[in-house]
Amino acid sequence: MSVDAKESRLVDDEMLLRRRRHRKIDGGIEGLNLTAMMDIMTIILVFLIKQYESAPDNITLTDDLMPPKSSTPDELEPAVTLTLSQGAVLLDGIKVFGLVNHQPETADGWGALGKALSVRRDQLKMIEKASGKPFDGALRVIADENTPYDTVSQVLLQAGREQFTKFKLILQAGGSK
Amino acid sequence: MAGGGGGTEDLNLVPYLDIMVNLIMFMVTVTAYIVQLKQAPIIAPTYGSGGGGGDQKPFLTVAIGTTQMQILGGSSGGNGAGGAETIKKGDWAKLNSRLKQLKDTVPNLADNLVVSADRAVPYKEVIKAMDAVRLDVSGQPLFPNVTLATVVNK
Repeated sequence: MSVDAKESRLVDDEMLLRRRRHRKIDGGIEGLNLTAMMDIMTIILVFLIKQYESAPDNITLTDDLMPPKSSTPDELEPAVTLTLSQGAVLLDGIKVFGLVNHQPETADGWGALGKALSVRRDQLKMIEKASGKPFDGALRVIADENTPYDTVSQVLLQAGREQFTKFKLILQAGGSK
Repeated sequence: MAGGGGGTEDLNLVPYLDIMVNLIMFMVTVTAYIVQLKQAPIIAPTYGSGGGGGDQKPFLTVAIGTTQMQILGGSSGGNGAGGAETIKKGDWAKLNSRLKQLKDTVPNLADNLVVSADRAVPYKEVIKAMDAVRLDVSGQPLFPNVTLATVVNK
């Protein structure tokens, strides 16, 4: 490399450095500023987390448990949850017994559900004594849309006998009148 | 401390941004699959001894059969809500309009309506009937309180 070329290279580098310094002094953009994008992302993330948080309890819907659609406007409230899928009856997520053709597979029949509900009621009454939180007899019933009315009716009957009398049917939003 | 002996550099935001983008994509996907659930309160038939046999407001029962529906009237005073009327099953609009007529014409009709169904009727049809009786076409409450009749095995 000739001396002229070296000098010209040095001059170029110096100019480049000057330009960079000049830009910094002017507050010009130096590369992509990610801070603003991070702010936007954080706001979106917080919004989505809050939205997810306000979603109802985790009720996993499957082909076996698809509640009917309804136009009811009421929001979900916490209560003891009784799930009536095509294959089983669950109380607060714990299987009470299986169903075969929508009928109990156990020898006790629907009475087994009554026993499970009475145990749960006694637990809630103990909590009532200990903490003062009153037992209000609220029961959320989640049933598959194709469940025969006889089965739903039996569940309500057993629950009513065990002092669960405030029924709330859990339904999918979006039904038409 | 940044780098091996190099000077202090700005915080590298690119990995954080990657994490954020992935989290947002995950959250958006998850919320899209969340089914919005609502609740419909119902009144259970009460157990125990009856009251003093006082005057009871006339009330209606919607009975859903396997092929048709019926509006049944019931009252202790027999003041206009008696009788039965058959409606084709699934004609929810007609059920709604007929109930509206009855509510407008029968004096002192109870806000409470009983829904009963045949054993084999699917639950979703009971819910459709409940939706049909809750509000009228203008969105005004028709029969907001529904009692579900239970089937007692003999």
